[in-house]
Amino acid sequence: MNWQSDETYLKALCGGNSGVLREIYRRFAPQLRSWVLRNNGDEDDAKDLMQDALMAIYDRYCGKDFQFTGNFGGLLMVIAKRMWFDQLSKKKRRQSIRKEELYGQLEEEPELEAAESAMLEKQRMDTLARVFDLLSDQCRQLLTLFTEGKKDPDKIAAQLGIPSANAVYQAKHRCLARWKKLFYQHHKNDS
Amino acid sequence: MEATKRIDKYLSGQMDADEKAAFEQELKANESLAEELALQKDMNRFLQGHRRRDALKSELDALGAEFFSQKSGKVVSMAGRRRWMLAIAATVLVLVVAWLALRPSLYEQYAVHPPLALVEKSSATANDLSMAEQAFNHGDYEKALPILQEYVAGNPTDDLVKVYLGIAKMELGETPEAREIFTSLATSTAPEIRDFAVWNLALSYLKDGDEANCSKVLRSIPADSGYYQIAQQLLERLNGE
Repeated sequence: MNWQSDETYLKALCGGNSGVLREIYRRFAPQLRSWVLRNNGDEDDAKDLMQDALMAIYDRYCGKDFQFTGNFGGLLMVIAKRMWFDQLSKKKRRQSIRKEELYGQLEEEPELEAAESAMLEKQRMDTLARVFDLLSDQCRQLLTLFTEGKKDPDKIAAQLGIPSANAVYQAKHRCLARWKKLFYQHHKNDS
Repeated sequence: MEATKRIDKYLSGQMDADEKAAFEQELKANESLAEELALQKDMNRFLQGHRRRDALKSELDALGAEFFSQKSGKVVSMAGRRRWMLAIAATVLVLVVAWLALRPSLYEQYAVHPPLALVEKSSATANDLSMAEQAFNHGDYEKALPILQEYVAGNPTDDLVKVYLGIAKMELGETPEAREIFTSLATSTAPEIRDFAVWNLALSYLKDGDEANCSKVLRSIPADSGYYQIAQQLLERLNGE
């Protein structure tokens, strides 16, 4: 079988390519499923882990300056396993097994460090996304308009009914500060 | 608020050279400022990419539903295996349909083997088996073959693993030996083993380019087999090409 390269997988994840994304599933889903089934999980767990692990890779490498040098499949599996162990120890489904024993299985994996960074990045982006929804409508619109290339503050002012361009900048900074504050509050609670 | 404003100015390229140099100098010494900068960078990244991120999530969700559709627990008992095998037959069909548009040879299109999911057996063999499983599911049949062979020698009644052994041989080009295994299991009293073996028997002929015998085996697959639908589909394509 001729599989696509790791680089192609990453590109598909970052930029979108349904055929290649499908290949990622075709290639790695059986392996992950079989591992999860042998480790107290079911089909749904495997499905969620696959998705979460891919999102973690997306959050870590897409739109960032990081160079991806590892093995895509290896990284995917280690992230998924690491996430699963976190869930298992939370649910205490394996009380008989000590934590060190559980995580010890991953210690030798060359992708472990990259996997942990990716997981942290995903938690961060998930929190940012969640608290973004807690901002006021005006803040969300304003920040979105700024990033969508409509950077002319006069136009944004007119569109949102804000009195002046200067007030638009003030509002932008207020929204960013509020968003940051919410992030710090929620991110601490999550981890 | 003041820090937020300065960082935003920095990130949007509105600082003049002196201001920028001073800010970068400050970053080196001020850890919490650096941390806030990293966060604001991520916030910008979120704003630029959240539509793509949401779209990706939905797309993965759909793929997940497709590739993980079966409901199965741990594969332990024969009854469990039976359900597993039925699910496999259904999955093979889905996978094959997904393959159709992409693959060159008919054999490659149809030889989409279900993953080898071995039972948690005695701990002495568990490691070896998990290695075989991984190798098999990776398409590394050369590595999986000796472990499967050894396992089958020690567990001559485990017919399911025998079929997988046959698949490994078939993939490695040892089709006559593979066929011997499939043929011997084609009369199994366990329907899921029988159906799985017969389907692979057909594939082994397809691999050798022996379309006549392949069609013959395919036609023998009864309507109550989990492979009936896909067999009919392959028959049609053989007749059409």
